[in-house]
Amino acid sequence: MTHLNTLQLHQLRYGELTGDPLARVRAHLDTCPACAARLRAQEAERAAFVLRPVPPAIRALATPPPPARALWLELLAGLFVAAAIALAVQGVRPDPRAGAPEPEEVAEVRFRGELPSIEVWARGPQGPHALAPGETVSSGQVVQLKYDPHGASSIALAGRDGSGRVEVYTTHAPTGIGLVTAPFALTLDDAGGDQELFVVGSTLPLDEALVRMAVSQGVAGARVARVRLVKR
Amino acid sequence: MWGVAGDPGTCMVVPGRSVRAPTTAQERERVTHELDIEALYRAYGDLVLGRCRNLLRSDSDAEEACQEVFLRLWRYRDSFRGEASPSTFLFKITTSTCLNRLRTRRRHPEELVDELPGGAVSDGMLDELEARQLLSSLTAAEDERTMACLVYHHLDGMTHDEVGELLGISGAAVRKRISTFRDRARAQYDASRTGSTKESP
Repeated sequence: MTHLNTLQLHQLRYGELTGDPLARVRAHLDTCPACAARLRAQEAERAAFVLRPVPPAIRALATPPPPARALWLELLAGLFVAAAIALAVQGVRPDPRAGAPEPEEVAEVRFRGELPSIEVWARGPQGPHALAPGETVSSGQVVQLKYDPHGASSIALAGRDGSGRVEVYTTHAPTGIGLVTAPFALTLDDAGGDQELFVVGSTLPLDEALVRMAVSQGVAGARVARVRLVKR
Repeated sequence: MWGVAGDPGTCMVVPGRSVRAPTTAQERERVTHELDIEALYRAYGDLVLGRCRNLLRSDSDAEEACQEVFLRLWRYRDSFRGEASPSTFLFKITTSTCLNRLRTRRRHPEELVDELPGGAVSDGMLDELEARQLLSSLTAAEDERTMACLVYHHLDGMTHDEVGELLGISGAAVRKRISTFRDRARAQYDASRTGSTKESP
């Protein structure tokens, strides 16, 4: 097979490939570092794009948004692509039946100035900054995760609100070496209680059910790092 | 830029509106059908803006072209509704929009000079300017469809058949258009080299 063309890579990211074309594209990516690098470049472009403000000219054309949903976190962008790609992932996966009662490893959460596993960046009056230990957050504040995948080939991001409800934001977050920035930011809503954020890493593909299980009770083969945001 | 690792100091404010990118196939279908232009921008804007940057090689032009694409999308919304592959549709109209802009830019060759970096002008810069002017004159005579064939084939790595499918023509027709362009380019290049040799002392 020759190299993948630009449109095929976009179609893969947007979950528009199915059946044989999807299988061919994925098989090619497994063996072609050049095309895999082009896909990563598109994903990086996506990650940089999702936090840009919508231009006024576009907003002026926008139809009225649907009624606001009672989400504690309003996911701003990026999940559609990640979810679409995640749906296409096939093959071996961690076995939930082999799940440990607790997460295999709970990575230590550190804050800026230390070697971090997770950093939470928040926009404050002085601009964006990494949250310091004990620092509280408030509704309407925009936060963004940075995390160290620690060699995991699959990363999922999830959250749990004050009522215990778990939301899986993506099962296909970027991986890499060192600190990786989540492909979206989160706007805190005014729901009560503290918010936990989770980074789930595995060397095997993750799906939503596995991530929920990993967050709540642990799954063999998945590592969970957690940070709690205290709301004022 | 906010969200880019290593440079969180230049935060861009994220709008606080409760608008999300479509997260499921059903939601994507909804925004496509209802033409929720803002949701479409959030979902596909990276494709459009990235392609504009690649083709136009100018951030400011790319920003304008990106907005133009979504304005065109709004204008031609009846064609877009229910589109099975929104990325293909946007890929095509983005390419078309950028080629139109490049054509307009070629009508104003002084911009080529403006694009040269300031300071001392080296021989390399002059060679580059010469090459770009040659390329500009070569492509100025081409119709948009041939230019699209060239971009899809040489820049995007599509086969002749894939380009043909995208443009609604046969793969053979794509091959012929590219071949004809190459012949013309080769002839014009040879002529330009001959001319410059004669001018040399």
